[in-house]
Amino acid sequence: MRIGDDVAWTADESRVVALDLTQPGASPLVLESTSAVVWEEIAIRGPIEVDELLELLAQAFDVRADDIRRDVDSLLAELRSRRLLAG
Amino acid sequence: MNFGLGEANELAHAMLARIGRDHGIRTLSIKGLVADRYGLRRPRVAADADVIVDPARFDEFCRLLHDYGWHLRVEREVPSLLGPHSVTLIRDDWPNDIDAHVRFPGFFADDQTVFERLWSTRSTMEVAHCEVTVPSRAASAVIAALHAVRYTKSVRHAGELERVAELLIDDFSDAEREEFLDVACVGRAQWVLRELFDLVGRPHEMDATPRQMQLWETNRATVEDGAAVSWLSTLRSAPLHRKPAVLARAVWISREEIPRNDVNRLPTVREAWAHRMLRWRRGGVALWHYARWRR
Repeated sequence: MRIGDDVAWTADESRVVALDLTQPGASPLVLESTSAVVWEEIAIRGPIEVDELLELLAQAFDVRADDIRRDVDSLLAELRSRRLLAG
Repeated sequence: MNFGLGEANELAHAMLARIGRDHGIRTLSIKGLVADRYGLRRPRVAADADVIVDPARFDEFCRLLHDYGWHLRVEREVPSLLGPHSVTLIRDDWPNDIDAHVRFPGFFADDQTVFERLWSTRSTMEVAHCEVTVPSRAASAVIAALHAVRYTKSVRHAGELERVAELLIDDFSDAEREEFLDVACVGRAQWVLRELFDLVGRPHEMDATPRQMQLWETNRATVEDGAAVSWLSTLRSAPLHRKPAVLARAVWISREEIPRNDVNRLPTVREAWAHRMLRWRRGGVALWHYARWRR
């Protein structure tokens, strides 16, 4: 999994705004705080497997991977539905 | 969720470049973000994303933007001393505008000639993690100078013109300086940028017609006062039998024509009168300024 090739995105410390350039009517998606961290990890380390991503995030936030799996899966599903992720 | 002007402009430039590339239409991102990245001005967040489009395919590009949800603000066409040079497009869920240019004021050569010259030394920038095509730094400096010199009554723009002058003298390589001058020559902007030609010790040609010079100077002197002087100019040049209609059009604005973002919401009668009163007051002040300037 990685950031899609057709995605424009901006990032600052705690915020990402991403746009799929292939869909004419698409609106930008704003990611803040932990969602922005997830995006940045994918951007820096992609392509990356979901389990590897979970491990990295668990270390970063000092939690167990299983405790954040549901939230991360939900976010990844939304990013995929908006065609912001590839692979 | 809201996103800011700076974020929106970066995404818009990436989107404009992508639309152009996908449809084989040449576009160059210009002004705000590009000038900032080149260090041509002190960075500030622009209200819009500016792009200059291959004039031969300008209308087609605007239609494509419409497909992407970008539409014209509701407003009637008002005369402009220098003629129309761009269209402003908005999208209801974006905070910024897109200014799509077919020409840039200050270049008096024909639009295609100017675009081809800018395109011939194009470069690329990474914007929003995408590749965006831009004019070279020297060509971008010409555009920045033309923009600044048009508004030199404003302190900010005077400072921006000074910044370009400093770079031209102290920072540009010989090749960049030559390119700056060449873009101005090909674009027939030597007379407009004559102060900068003088600064680098180059003679300039009078490459604008007397009429173009007069319109440029009148526009410069009255640009902050809106369209009133343009209406006056249109009224003067109209044939006698057309003058009453032009005058009526200049003075009166219907409810349907009152500028607004939402196409579907007609201003109330009260809002319409408030707009007209404000417009008449502004017009009166503008014409008074113009009369003083003429004296």
